[in-house]
This record gives sequence, structure tokens and C-alpha cells, in this order.
Amino acid sequence: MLAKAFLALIGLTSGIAVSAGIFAFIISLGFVERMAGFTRTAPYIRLYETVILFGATAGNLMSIYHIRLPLGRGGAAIFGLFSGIFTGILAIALVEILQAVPILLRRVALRKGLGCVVLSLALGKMTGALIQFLQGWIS
Amino acid sequence: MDTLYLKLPQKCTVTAEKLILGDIAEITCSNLGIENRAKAILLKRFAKNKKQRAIFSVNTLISEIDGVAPGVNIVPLGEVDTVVDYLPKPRPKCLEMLLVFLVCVIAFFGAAFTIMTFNTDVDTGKLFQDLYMQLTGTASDGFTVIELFYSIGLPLGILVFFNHFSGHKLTNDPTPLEVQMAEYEYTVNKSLLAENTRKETSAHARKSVSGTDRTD
Repeated sequence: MLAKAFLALIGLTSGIAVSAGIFAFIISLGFVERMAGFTRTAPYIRLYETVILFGATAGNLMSIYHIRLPLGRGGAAIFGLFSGIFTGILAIALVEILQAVPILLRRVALRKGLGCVVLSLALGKMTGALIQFLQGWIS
Repeated sequence: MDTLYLKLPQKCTVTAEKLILGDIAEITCSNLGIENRAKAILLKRFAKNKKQRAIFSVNTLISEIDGVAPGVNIVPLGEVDTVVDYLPKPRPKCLEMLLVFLVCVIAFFGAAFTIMTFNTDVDTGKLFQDLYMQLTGTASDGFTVIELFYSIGLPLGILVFFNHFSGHKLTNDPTPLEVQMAEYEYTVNKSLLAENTRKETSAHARKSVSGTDRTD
């Protein structure tokens, strides 16, 4: 019984710590305010917080308990698409936080063509992902 | 001599086609006549029904006020540049709802994806099974108290971190996201102004009373 109580305590506190850490990471990369700024929907920030809460809870239940959710290929495609968009935004945000692009542009004294650089970044990421997945599909 | 205080906001949004100084700046003057004349100064006429942005420097505004009230002592307060967005008509509600829904879907799946990648990456399930074995001496079936309380603790941590509970704040502080949003808007404004300054210097400080046009 004591062991069970101790396990429950470990579970609860590690859950709190993990979520705080992960969501501090998402927030410090600025995902939500970027999206809210881009779509001009800043008044809905609270709603986005709630949605992140539910998304994380659902995702955690899925991965911890291996719950079966028979949504078929359509469901898988939807999950893939939107988590892909999310990862893409996070990846670019990470590049931006590290200031890799501004520093590079300054070093090579590039004034124009920022749009091309961004497009190349996106295409590069897509190519990388495709190469990785194609290997899995072929072998 | 009369003193006029001119306070500029960092950014504002107007819906009227005729932009007058009183729409963007807070003006206080000991002489009401001068105050009203200054507030009525026509700064710009926006082209109808087109989203536009204008940037005004406090210097431009000072010379404009000087034009209608010569000799008045102008004290600028607040920002030195201001960004004015002209939005002729508000966005349709359904479009806004659609955008909100889209962001919600991305945020939902993104958050789910993030936690799943974390759980997989560190192999939380295996770790919990090992811990269960170590503490109780019996094998775990994967549905024990530790998984249950981990799943409770996770949303609890987000709630505490985001400082909100379905619309009710836990404390009076703004949530981290609200703080970030304010910071983000501030940074966007600063870069708009920086871009504007860069353009102006490259055009040899072209003096323009009507501000610098920018069309979205």
C-alpha cells in the first residue's frame, strides 16, 4: 500500500514537472503568439491554452495506455498533417530563436531574397523528411 | 505661452477613411481652442476600402501642430513613432472563426504530438514498469497507479503553468501566453518602425508630411 502511494506521488509530480517543462518549451519558442499574431486572433489566446491542455492530455493517454482509436487512414492523415504543421512552425521558431538566419544574412551581407531563403529552408526540411521516410518505405 | 502635450501610442487601428490627429494621439493643452484645432488636423486620407498602414514620426506631427497653432510649446510624450493601421471593414465573423478553429486544430494535434514524442523518446512506459517492479515487487501490466497519476499530473501542470482554469484565472497575473503575446506585438511594431527608418534613410530622408505608405 505504501509502495502504491509512493508510486502515485512519483507519477503525479513527474507528470506536473514534465508538462511544465514541455509547455515552457513550446511557449518560449512562441508557437501560440506567432499563430495568433499571424491570424490576428489574439483575443482567443485563452482558448488556445485550453486546446493545448486537451491535446496534451489526449496525446498522453494515447501514448501511455495505447488506447485504440479506429479512425482509419483519414484520421492518421489528419494527425500527420497537423502535427507536421506544428513541428514545422516549431522548427522554424527554433531557427529564429537561435538567430541563425539574421546572423547568416549579415555575414554574407544579403539584403534581398529573404523570401527565397525561407522557402529553401522549408523545401530542405521537406526533402529531409521525405528521404528519411522513403528509406523506411522501401526497406 | 500655452503648452500642448502630445502623447503617441505605439500602434493604433482606425476605421475612418479620414485620419485626424485626435484619432491617434492624446492631446492636452491649457488652451482649449488650440487643443481642438490640433485634434482636428487632417493627417491623411486613406484610399477607400483597402487595408493600409501609415507610420508617423512625432516630428511630422509637431510641424503639423505648429502650422495650426504657431508658437505653442509642444511637449511630446510616449512614443516617437506610431504605426496606424487602417482597416476599412471588420473581418467577417465566419472567417475569424475558421482561423481560430484552424489554430485550435494545429495546437491540439501539436500538443498531443509533442507529449507523445516525449513519452516515446524517454520510454516513459518502460520506466514506469521498472519503477513499479522495483517498488512493489510485482510485475506491472501497464495500467497501474503511476500511469494514472502521471496522466492526472500532466494536465494539472499545464493548468498551473498557464494559470487558468477554463476561463477563470488561478491568480490575477496575466498568463505566460498573454505576456508573450504582448511582447510579440511590441517586437513586431519595433521591426515595422525599423524597416520604415531603413527605407527613409535609403531615400535620403525624404520628408513627407503624409507619412510613409505601406499597403498590406
